Amino acid sequence: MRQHKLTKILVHGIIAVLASSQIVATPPKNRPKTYKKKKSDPEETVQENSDRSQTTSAVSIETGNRLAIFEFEGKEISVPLTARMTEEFRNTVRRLNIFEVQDRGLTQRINIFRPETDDYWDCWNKDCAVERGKLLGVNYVIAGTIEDSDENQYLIKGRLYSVDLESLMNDFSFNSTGITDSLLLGMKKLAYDVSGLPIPDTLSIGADTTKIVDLAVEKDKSRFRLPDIDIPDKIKSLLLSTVVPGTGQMYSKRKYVGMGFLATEITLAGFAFIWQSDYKQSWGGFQNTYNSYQNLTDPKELLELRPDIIRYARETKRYNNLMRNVRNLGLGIWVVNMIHAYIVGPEELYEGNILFGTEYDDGSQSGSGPGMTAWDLASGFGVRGMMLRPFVKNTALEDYRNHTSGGFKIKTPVGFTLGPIRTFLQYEISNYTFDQKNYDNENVISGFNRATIMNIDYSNLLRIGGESVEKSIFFGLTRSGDGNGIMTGMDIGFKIDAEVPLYISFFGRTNSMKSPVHGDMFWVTAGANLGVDIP
Amino acid sequence: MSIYRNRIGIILVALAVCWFACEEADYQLDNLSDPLNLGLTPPAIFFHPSSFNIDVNDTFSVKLYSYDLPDVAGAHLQVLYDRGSLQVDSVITDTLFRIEADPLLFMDDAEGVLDVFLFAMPTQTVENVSGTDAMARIFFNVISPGISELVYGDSTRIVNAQNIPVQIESYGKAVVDAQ
Repeated sequence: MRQHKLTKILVHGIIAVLASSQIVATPPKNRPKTYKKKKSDPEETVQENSDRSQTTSAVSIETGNRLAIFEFEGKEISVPLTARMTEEFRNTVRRLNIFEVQDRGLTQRINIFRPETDDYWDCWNKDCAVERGKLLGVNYVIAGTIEDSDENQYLIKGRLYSVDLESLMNDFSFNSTGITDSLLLGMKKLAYDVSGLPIPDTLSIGADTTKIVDLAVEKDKSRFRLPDIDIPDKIKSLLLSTVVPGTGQMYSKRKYVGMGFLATEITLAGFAFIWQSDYKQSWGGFQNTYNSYQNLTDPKELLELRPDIIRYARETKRYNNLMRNVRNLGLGIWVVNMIHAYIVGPEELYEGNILFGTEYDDGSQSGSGPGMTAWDLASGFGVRGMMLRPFVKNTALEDYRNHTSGGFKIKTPVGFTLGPIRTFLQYEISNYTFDQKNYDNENVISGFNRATIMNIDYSNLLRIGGESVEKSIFFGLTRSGDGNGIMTGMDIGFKIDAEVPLYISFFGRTNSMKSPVHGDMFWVTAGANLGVDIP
Repeated sequence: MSIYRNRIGIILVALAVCWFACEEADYQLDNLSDPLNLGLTPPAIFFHPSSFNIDVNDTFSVKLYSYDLPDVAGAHLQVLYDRGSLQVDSVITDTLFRIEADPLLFMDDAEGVLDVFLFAMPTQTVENVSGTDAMARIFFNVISPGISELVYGDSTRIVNAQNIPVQIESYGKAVVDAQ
């Protein structure tokens, strides 16, 4: 009966996740943004050009803001340095969130269209740039060059073309002194310039020099860097979801679908743990009774053992089937997740080189538009699968052995805030098992603790560990087949990624239970849980 | 990238331990002492054990066993044995007819025919017993070598509290190899 309920919960959970995924599967429309003309900078020299007359002071880009940045051409400097500077330029423009910057891999597709050259600076005139921009399906293109004009003097030049308007939008150049102190800074300034944003004061020579030195040191320290292989983004998305379900979707800016996949897999894993625990009990019972049957000679005892053996054997088969089913379901969802990750992989996406999104995410997927979405309703909820094991127990349990168990808990947004302290309600189902001998049902204390828990988050009170570490204490009332009780404990959660509310937590807790059969039971448990919270 | 690899590793380990399927129970209920393997049709009575290899001058015991008897309150168990090879030493009651007190036991041993009479002592609420259990236990002395059988005689009869006989479908037997 218990299993039947669990199965119903599982089915409803999957339906809910799939329904939610359907709702958020529609890619968000990009909000129109206004491109403003760059502000002048005293340090830079803007070259006059014959096409200058075509530059507009303010351009609406409501038709689209997709930008392809061609590889800068290096003159008298190495190709890797040019590529590095171009990528730095791309990343900076991308982070400024004015343009949707096409990834390098996609921009390089120009090689397929025009295999005869990869020297994009050759594409200096308007017609060539517009033609290639159309081939790449972007609204804007930038072509540029980095030239070592003198000893440690670098001249960075570039042009911004509108593919839609078929015109030159901006023509810029910049002088930089010394590769180690200002070339990188120059590319960043250029990115601000191209994006029409004021160049911040923090982009000073001194600050940038420090950053470059830090980067150099960091590079030296990092001995296990992956080779810089240019993997297509769709394949990256597929690989990520192959390794961890949902992460490919997160990479492809489908965070909530990704979290849905991950939460579903975690939930299935929780069920698998529960059924595995039941299986172990049945298997232990089977082994005990079957061994007794083989060794005993008394007909009465043998006859009494028969139904137990058959029952335990059936139970092991049943729980094994449940585990197989949940495993197959999990693997099926895993495969679907992989296919989905490949399909939604960022072929046409122009943003997001960061695994779990960018820090400039405009929240367009979070249902912030008009109308309430399923995710709005689900906001504040979370699900976590857990593993736990008792390590201290009182005299009522001293003759029993400890066993690792599983469970899951659902976090709700129900709670209140009292100054720096936040509270929220949780519901948890976890298994506990103590046995005297090989999990035999006759010698086991086992059941499901259904707990209603009040969680008190004091992270804002005690800021050790920063924002990515959640610290809380909790207490709750428990109910199980063995009796009612109280649970108290503490939990330290680590946010695995800054952008995705994926947590791994470690907890310690006390459990007390008043059992009419076993007396007053008390045990202390330690464990870990993994799960997601819906922001 | 290495940071992500660490994160992925943590998640992977947490998930990987979940994917399992275990051994399924495989069994053969073939214990020779199991009444279901004796080829008897219940309700039945049989000897347990059903074979003995005994030295001369040794003593052994055999249980008179019921198999899935319906409600009964008394029994006349007639056991035929080879008086040239075996000699009845004693007979004691066993657990089937025990309600709260031990049952009454009478016996008559003459010329290889042992008659055992058992009567359950009813209480105010229980007057019958049932099921599979030992009714009585007979101790034999082996006096000479030879192979002989223990069988139930035709006078064997089991009745309920109303003295109505219960139909016994099968009778077991035992083989004694005395050397």
